[in-house]
Amino acid sequence: MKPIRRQRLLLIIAMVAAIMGSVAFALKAFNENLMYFYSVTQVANGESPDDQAFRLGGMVVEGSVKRPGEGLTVVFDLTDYQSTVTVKYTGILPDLFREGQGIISTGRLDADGVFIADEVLAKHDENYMPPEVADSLKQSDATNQTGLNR
Amino acid sequence: MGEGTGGFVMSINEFFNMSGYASYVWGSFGLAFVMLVWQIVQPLMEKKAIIESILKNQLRRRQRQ
Amino acid sequence: MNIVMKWIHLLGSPPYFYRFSGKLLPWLTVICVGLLVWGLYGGLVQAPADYQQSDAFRIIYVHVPAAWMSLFIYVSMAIAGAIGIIWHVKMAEIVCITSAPIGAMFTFLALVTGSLWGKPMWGTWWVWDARLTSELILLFLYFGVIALYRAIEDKRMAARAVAILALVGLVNIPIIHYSVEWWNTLHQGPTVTKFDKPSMATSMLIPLLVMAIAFKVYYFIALLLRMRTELLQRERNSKWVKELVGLS
Repeated sequence: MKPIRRQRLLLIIAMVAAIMGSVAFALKAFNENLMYFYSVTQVANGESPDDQAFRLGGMVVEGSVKRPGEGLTVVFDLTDYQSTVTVKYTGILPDLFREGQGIISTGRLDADGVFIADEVLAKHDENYMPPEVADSLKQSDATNQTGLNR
Repeated sequence: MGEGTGGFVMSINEFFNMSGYASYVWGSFGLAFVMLVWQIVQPLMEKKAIIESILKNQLRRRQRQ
Repeated sequence: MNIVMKWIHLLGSPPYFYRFSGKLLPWLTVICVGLLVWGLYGGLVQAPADYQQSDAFRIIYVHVPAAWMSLFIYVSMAIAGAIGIIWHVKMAEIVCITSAPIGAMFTFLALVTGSLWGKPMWGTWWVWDARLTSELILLFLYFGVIALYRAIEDKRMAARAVAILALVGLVNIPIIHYSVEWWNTLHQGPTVTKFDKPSMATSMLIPLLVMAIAFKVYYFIALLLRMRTELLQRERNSKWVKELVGLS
């Protein structure tokens, strides 16, 4: 094989290896994310790990958000409509964080069963509408508890 | 963006402010603009370079003759 | 042979294609700029702010059309590649390879604008969720196609190798589309492409669709420009190119 051809072949092999590597790495990354994802009920039943951080998803309970101190610490309840877990977080909350909104949080449980969050991410739904429409929807549907206004 | 409460100037300011998300919104649109323009300019510049190189080659060939 | 087939056959001839695309380009440019102005005005000025995201939601007017284009161009590229392999159509090979940088740009744009939206809204620039990760893999696939084409000296061989890589990478497309349904992603589900009740107010939806069409026309323009440049390069020793640049 001519040296230039061998060089090209090596380049192609290296490139294919790089692509496969990045795919494998990425698959592993989101597999891990899925693996350590727990629902509120699982946490309430004690199925979540004690010794390592995991991800917790649920809805912020209406009227549960409290700021106990002067700082950035915030305490709220998270529910999946079956069980409830109290979450404590210190830091800046995303702009979409509000009562009734879904969130995904990373952290670990403390001895009292309170979830100490390192990160709080707000999950957005697929609905887009102007505020006036949201208001009228809210009025027409009195049972709607999704907290449409800031 | 809403109706400008303080008239035209106010609503222009509101427009550019994007209710506080100016850097994110204008960052997105600005990047898109730069990339879309570049994607058009690049093949045009390449085309120009190819034509120039064809002409140069031809000139060299003629000088050799 | 009917008239459409005859015309398609004519377009396979480089000088005819070059002349025809040259005539088409000004019209396409006018249409594209018009649509962009309409879409941007509708999206940035006319559309009301979202009830939860306020004005930050306007990022979707670049993000969503760019993300759609990243998928659309990949599929076009793979189809063109397949046609190139099966029927040995040179023009299809050129469509395949010249689509790659345009698709890579749209993928990059979708990722960056998504990140710019995610930081204030979700609270993070990036998460390794299925949607974001599979879109990142799409970017790597585009880079792979570009690098592979450059690495192989024989351009016929290169076009064939690139087409195969593009076809293999096609599996990623349904993964990207359905990722938000198959996995528990932070990224929200589909808004426009789901078939039950619309989840977007009409005043917000129309500019989005206009932007999507504008980006499609833009792709066509960018593709024609790159194809013309590629044709000049490949056929630089042919008679028609010499005539074109003023030699003969």
